[in-house]
Amino acid sequence: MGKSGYQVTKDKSKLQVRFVFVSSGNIDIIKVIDYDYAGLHNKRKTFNLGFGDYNPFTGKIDDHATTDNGDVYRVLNTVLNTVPLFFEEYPNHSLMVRGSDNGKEFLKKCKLNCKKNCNNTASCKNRNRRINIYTRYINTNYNELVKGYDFLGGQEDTVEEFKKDKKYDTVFLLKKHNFAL
Amino acid sequence: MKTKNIENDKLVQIPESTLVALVISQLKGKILFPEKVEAAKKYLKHLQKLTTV
Repeated sequence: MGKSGYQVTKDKSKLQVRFVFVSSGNIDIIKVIDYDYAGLHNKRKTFNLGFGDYNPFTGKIDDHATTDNGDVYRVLNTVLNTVPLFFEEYPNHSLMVRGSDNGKEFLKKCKLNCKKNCNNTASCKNRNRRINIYTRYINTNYNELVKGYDFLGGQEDTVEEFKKDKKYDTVFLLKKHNFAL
Repeated sequence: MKTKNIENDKLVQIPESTLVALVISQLKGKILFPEKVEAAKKYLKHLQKLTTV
């Protein structure tokens, strides 16, 4: 985290921290990153990461959009750069990251317009792409990231200490507190 | 102060910072990812149940 991204503008309310930025790739797209309170995990208040494109004409967010705006890494860096900003606001809370493309609804929608010749929904090639992007980033930068954060990996019924290269549906992040004596 | 004459009466150019501020004010207080938040709440409750059993 801390790589080159877009400048973000923060908006904080009681149960939410929001960041807005403009992705200036092939076209300009307004993007929104939300951290919404979702409940308790291990007695810690836990916020869920949401990310999507803002459509100024409908006033709605599309979190399934794949805009191919030519700046995917810069956008990803921007999202990742907001993680430390979230923990500046809530150092004792935890953060959960899940893909918007892992639910049954996604599979149904994807199957309707499938262009990747997936034979059945169980092998959908678009499924879990987003969480895989995040877990791949964690795997690649794990040694550096664990200096500042604890990671947990979640599947349907289990949450465990994050294991590199293992597939997870959900990733939990907690900020480490390094107390100087 | 001179103002720029824009031929198209439907479109105006505004600075990025103004645009972002406008979007923030429009979205203020709204849950933008209700399905994701609900799914996350459901998952956390599911995990809580498992730990209390």
